[in-house]
Amino acid sequence: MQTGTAKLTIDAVEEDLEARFRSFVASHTDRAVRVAWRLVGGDEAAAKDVAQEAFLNAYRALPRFREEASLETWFYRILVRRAHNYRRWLALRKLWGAPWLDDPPDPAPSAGSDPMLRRRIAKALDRLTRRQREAFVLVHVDGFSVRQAAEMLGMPAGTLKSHLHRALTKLRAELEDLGNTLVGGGEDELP
Amino acid sequence: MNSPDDDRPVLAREDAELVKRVAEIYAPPSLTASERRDFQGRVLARAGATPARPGLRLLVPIATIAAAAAMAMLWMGRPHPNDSAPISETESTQVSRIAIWEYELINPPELDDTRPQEEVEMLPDEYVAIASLLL
Repeated sequence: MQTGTAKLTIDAVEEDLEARFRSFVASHTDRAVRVAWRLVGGDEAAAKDVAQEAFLNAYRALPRFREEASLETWFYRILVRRAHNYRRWLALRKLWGAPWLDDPPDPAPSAGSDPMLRRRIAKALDRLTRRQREAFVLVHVDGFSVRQAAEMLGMPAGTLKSHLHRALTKLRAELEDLGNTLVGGGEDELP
Repeated sequence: MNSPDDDRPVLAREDAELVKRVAEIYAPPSLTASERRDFQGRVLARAGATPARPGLRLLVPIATIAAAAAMAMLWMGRPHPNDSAPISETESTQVSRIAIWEYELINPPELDDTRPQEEVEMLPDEYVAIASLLL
């Protein structure tokens, strides 16, 4: 009898976990893929792989997290780390001679904006340091708060703000020749 | 203006515009309904295949590797029959023959002028004469 009760309890807990996980995946799929896409450098397949692996990590860690907010922060922390690992792997592949990887495909070929402009932005982001890029993407582009992003990146908020400032300064310098096209509000015209 | 929960730094107008345009332009295409369904289906299927305690998943391969490593150590550490047996005279002779063969392979006797020319001496005189003309 006791075993039966215990089994029922475990089943209920597992059902609860399943339900929580389904809800978490449903509410974070789009954002996770978008953040991963920007962090891996515009590769859609890689972004989906990174997001999928991060979700699986979240599933395994689900019992440890009671609050959705802490799970979310933790999840994006894993996602950022996996995206970084992907970039490192890609850099190694390039280093050890995979010539077809020298020129990455156009990020988001089906998106409406100018492909050359996207490529320029991708390269400008690529030239930032890892932390600057991650801070910029998480806070300025994807709208996480400084506190959340600092937790995700495992650094104090002050340090994160410093990375944000440097990232913005570099991007301004890198993209200033786009002039009216980017900063002045022109519609995706090339210089 | 930032909301009370928004602790992001307030940007100058130009910077805010730059960030806005980067976010707009550097964005992936939105997932279609079928792509989203497909993605979520794969995630849930993989999660369903994951046991409640992922640590147990690693138990079998770790145990297999540990057993194989233990077997290998036992095999390599076992007393070898040749380790303790004294070298017999026959074995000693074989070893020295192999050493001589190896030495001759590295230093061919035909290139060594100091060796006795036994083969040449055994040749008939006319062959020696022809050889002396040619060489």
